[in-house]
Amino acid sequence: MLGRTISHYRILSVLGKGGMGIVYKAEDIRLGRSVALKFAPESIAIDRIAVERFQREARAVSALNHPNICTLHDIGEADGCPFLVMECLEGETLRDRILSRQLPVDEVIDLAIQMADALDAAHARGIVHRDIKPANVFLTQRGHIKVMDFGLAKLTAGPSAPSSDSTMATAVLDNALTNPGSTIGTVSYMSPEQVSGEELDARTDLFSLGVVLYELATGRLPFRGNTSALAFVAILHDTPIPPGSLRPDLPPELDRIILKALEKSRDLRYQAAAEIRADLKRLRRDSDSNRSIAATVESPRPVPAAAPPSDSYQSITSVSAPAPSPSSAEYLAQVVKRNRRAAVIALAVMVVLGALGAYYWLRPTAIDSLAVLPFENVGGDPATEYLSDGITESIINSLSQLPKLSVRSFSSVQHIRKSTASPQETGKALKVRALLTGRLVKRGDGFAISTELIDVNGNRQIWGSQYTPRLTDFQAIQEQISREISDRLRVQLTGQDLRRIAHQSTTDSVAYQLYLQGRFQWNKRTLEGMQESIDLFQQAINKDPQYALAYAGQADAYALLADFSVLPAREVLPKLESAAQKALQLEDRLAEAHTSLGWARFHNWDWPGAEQEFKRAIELNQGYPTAHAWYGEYLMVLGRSDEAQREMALAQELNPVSSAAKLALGYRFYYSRQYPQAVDQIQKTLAADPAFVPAHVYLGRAWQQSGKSTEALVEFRKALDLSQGDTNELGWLGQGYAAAGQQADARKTLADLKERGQQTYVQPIALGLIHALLGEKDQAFDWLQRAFDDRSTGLVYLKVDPAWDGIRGDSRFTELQNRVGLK
Amino acid sequence: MGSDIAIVVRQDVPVENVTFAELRKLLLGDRQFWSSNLRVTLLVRAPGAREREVVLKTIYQMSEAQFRQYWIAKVFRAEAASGPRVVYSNEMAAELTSAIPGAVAFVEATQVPKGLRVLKINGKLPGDKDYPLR
Repeated sequence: MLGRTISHYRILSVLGKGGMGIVYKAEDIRLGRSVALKFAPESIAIDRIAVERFQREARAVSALNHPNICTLHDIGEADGCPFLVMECLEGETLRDRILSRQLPVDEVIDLAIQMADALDAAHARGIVHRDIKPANVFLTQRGHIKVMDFGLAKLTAGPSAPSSDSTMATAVLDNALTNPGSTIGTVSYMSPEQVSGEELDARTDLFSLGVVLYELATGRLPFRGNTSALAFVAILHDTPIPPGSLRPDLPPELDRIILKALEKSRDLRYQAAAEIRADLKRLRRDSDSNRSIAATVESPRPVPAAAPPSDSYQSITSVSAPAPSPSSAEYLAQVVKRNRRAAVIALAVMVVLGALGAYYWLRPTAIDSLAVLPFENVGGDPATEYLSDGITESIINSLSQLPKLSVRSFSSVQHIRKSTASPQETGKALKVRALLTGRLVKRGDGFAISTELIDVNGNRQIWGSQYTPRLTDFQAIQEQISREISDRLRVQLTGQDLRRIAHQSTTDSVAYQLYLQGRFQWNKRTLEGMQESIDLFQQAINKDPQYALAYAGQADAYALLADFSVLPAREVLPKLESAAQKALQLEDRLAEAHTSLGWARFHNWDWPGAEQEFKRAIELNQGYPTAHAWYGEYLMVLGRSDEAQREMALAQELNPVSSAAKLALGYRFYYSRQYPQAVDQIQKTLAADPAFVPAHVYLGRAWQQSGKSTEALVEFRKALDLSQGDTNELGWLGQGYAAAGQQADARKTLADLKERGQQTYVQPIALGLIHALLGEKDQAFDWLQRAFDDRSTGLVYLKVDPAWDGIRGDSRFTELQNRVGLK
Repeated sequence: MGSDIAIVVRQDVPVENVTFAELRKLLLGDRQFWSSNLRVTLLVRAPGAREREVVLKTIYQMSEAQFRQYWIAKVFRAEAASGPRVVYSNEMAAELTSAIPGAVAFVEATQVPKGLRVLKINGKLPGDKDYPLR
């Protein structure tokens, strides 16, 4: 078998053999990852019905997506023998760990919580393990539990005919009795009902978990016998010795938990894995807080010169510090004899520093940054694309509210679809520690959504889940996912944080759908998308006039209208401000609305008002890149270059794949008159996104200021072509002609622009610039006055734009600058 | 060289001939009713179709970007309830023209569907000398 390729798995080595068959290590040659192939035993392979049942059960088990459950990737068949493809784990089984050393109490509790969590997830899906034992629990090198072989005991219990749990249990029992040597390990973990051949339910796993916990805590089995039959008698009739009497340092509460799990009557036992998990978590919390109270109360207390070390000191050393070597101990003893007080203090300091050092080096690095990748719209139905994008964006917005978690914006991830990059590569590109991926499938009237949270360091799954919502449930689902992720990342949430996550801006599911569709269109950043989004946001508002996010969306759409010079800013700004104010009136903590309001005030030349809104937006959501980008722009036009650089860099860091954010760093150089650096940065932007129109314009402008008019005109023409004849780009070409001394072309372009102005809006400032570069100052100021009347968005650059240098010395220019507030 | 582009309307549209200037007003949204209670609904092919190129070039005299900009501004200013509806094929254009009262669409003259009426422009039909949409 070794070296053979089955399907797309190349067999590399044997990992193990057992009752479940042979396990091989293999390479998935499509994905380039290691997997474990588990071949069913021959008893299954020869029985067609058993094979079908094996496959059916495996499919059910494959639905289990949990960080503490070994993932089943695939099933297959080779030469009639079915096999499972599972994640390949590195570490050791719990059996090996128990045999190697006694585990600290904290570790026992931690492992127990993870196992209970795994069982809870499986039981919630109606899957009972039936064979929980240390050999079926894997401990990864990172200390994470992976429960293996869920549901497989049922498959290997016997021939295909028996299918009920009771017949299966009997088959296992018969098997154990007739083959005591091979199954003795397994029977020790069986529940009384399993031994008795009764119907099984999830509570059988809780009993077996109790046995495993007993063994973890004490190193001994609670029910023992030299033969399987004697072991069965013990399981059915013996009362286990309390684990605390075998290991005195066990907390009494852990004793109680284990004994409750080992109750022979199912009705007296824990009824659900969640219950045992809650008791264990409570125990861990109380242990932690006791330790922390002891440390904070005892440590600062001066140690009397003649007093022995305090209890707290002992407890710290026993938990965190390595035992001193004999030579060290001897040395310390001598020191203590000389100066007992000083020595004790010095030793305490060393211990504390050692503990801190150990904590620093050994602590798991908290996940503080996350990217939610666009959910895959499986099947590619365009009608549901807005939903897959919408749920992605909603989760991002929800998680962005959380403290100490940096979440990449939707605009930074929306281009990453069907990427072939590994999670590590994607994580590196986005500069994040974790990735959330998801898939959305339309199923009849409803949907199936699966999600996976991956730690990019080691490609480890932290969490995964599946949902089957109806269309009207989407808002609730995104909130649930956000909440579960924050749980998994153990982000410490205040009640206010939880309210933010749970907050539903609308209870009208149709309004929510319309809003999602509006965002989907808006995110395209095209004229067509802009047009659609305005209509959709308005429809959402019509459905729910109290829907703050829909007003914020409308404000964002209006901001684009002015930014794209579709209409004079004079016409757009009042509506923009009104929509943003309405959103804030309904929800005053919407960063998006504060940002849009800031943009409106910026272009209304209300400089202090704009800064106040941008700062408020950033205060509310530091991870919102648009707020940093627009604030950076604001600072740049005022000549506050260093502050601008900081904000623009932040925007770029939050949105590393955004062409606009990259370009901003380039045009900051342009406005600082550092043209070679501007050219360099803008060329980098274009290398990543060659069709990005504004980058061609700015590259042209940088070439123009460098005296390279030929190169400049090439870029302006490209921009015009790529924009399908946009008027703004025609204006840039016209001023390029004027700057290059091509007067005839410049005048023809002026005429074209004026003609276009009969039907669609033409920024007067563009005409003013062409006249200025042609040396026609009076006409230039005439058009600049019209630009002032229109509140042309380009006027905010007057102070820093080198293109105006030709008329900068004119008193009319200074006066205009003053009127705009750019003194 | 493609064939002429025909203007097709539903049978209920009470017009047989339009001048080029009237046609332009219709397409710019400056004339929004055929009659007192029959609203004009414009159907325009999606970008890339020859019918659209001809309409933009000869009637609107606008670039693609200008066309979009024009309609966004028109709706923003509440001068029109909505822009032209986009259709993705001549079949779709025919189907919607048949279904929507007052609908008007543009299709290749060789592919005019049955049941729809072709409007004259300046008294000319597709194929006539000096027919303007080609």
